[in-house]
Amino acid sequence: MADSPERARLAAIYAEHADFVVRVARQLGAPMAELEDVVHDVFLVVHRRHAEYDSSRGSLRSWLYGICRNVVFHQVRGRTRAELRLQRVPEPTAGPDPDELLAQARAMATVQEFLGELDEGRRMVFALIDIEGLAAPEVAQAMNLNLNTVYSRLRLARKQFEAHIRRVNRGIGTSHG
Amino acid sequence: MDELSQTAREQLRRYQRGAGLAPEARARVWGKIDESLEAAVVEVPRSPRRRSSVVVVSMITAVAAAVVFAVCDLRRGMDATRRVEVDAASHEVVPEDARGVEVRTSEVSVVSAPVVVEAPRVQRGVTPVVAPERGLAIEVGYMRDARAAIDGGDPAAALVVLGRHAREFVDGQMLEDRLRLRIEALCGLGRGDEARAEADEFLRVHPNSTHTARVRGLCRGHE
Repeated sequence: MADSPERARLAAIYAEHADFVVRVARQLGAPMAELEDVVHDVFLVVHRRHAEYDSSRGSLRSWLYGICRNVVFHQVRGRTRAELRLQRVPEPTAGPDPDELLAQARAMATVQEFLGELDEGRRMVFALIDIEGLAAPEVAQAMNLNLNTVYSRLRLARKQFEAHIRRVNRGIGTSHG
Repeated sequence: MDELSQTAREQLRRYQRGAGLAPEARARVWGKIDESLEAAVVEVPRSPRRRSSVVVVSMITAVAAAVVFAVCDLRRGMDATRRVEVDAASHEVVPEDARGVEVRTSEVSVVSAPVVVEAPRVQRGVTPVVAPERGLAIEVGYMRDARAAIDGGDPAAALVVLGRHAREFVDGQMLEDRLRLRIEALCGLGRGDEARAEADEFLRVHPNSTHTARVRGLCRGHE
């Protein structure tokens, strides 16, 4: 197994998409303490089922989303329903510039707080499109939704996000002034 | 569709950059995945065509068995019917593993395995209907628990987990993994004869399994 083509393929997928899986798992409500286990399980399932992946039926990311959703739903949620509220964000680890670090910490807190306020349907549409960069039709397929529903949720989520940012910025301005 | 403002996009970009795995966590998780692959808890998938054919054969066999029983009931009358019911009832309460018989439609593995497990909840030979990813994720969880129990020096606990998997996923996708781990657990308990008997059966039924080499090498110290 150590040098097998299957392992190399999995390593490549992991390198490319591990962060995506982590973020999606968080948006799906996986507790911080279990994120690494979720990622581990998702990639084992990927390894096991890769032969069944059909690129003509959707992107790799939408396939990963489906696996991640199932792993979170069936392995994590049953044990930790009380922790479904999204958790606080971890300290940022990148960026030596203190100003950039601060800006990133604020952005992460702002976005995570906002996402935590949304219901799951709207949150996943917003996260997959505006954070992960998936196309709306892709999201519609991955979430088994009507395309109009996806656009409707996205429109509402964007409005809410802009309002949330304004609110946060007013708060920052007040606290500094 | 209203587009996001520049400020909003910037916030999301920063969030995306910071909300992934930290480098050390990334390496740690990959290490665990690699370990699981090395431990052969998950192997390269078998052909879906072969799997579907096994399921179809299982279903056909189950239906055929039901028809045969129905015909027998008509011919034998009430007394015979009562005997069949008693027999069926005894199958309901005797754990599959405790009988030492793992029943599949295409292969039968007869071994002595007096492990105390719960009564089977599913019809033998028929895998429960669950979403594929869900089922596989659960199966992987069982295999991981069994592997952890064996590695942690508790092969008896591993057998309990594997028994649970055997009941819930009689012909599951992790069947070969289960059989291989079960042989390891039996070795760990010092039940070398049983382990070797199951290993021989495994090698006979699954000569092309990715576990073949490992199974062949298991329990050598007990010979």
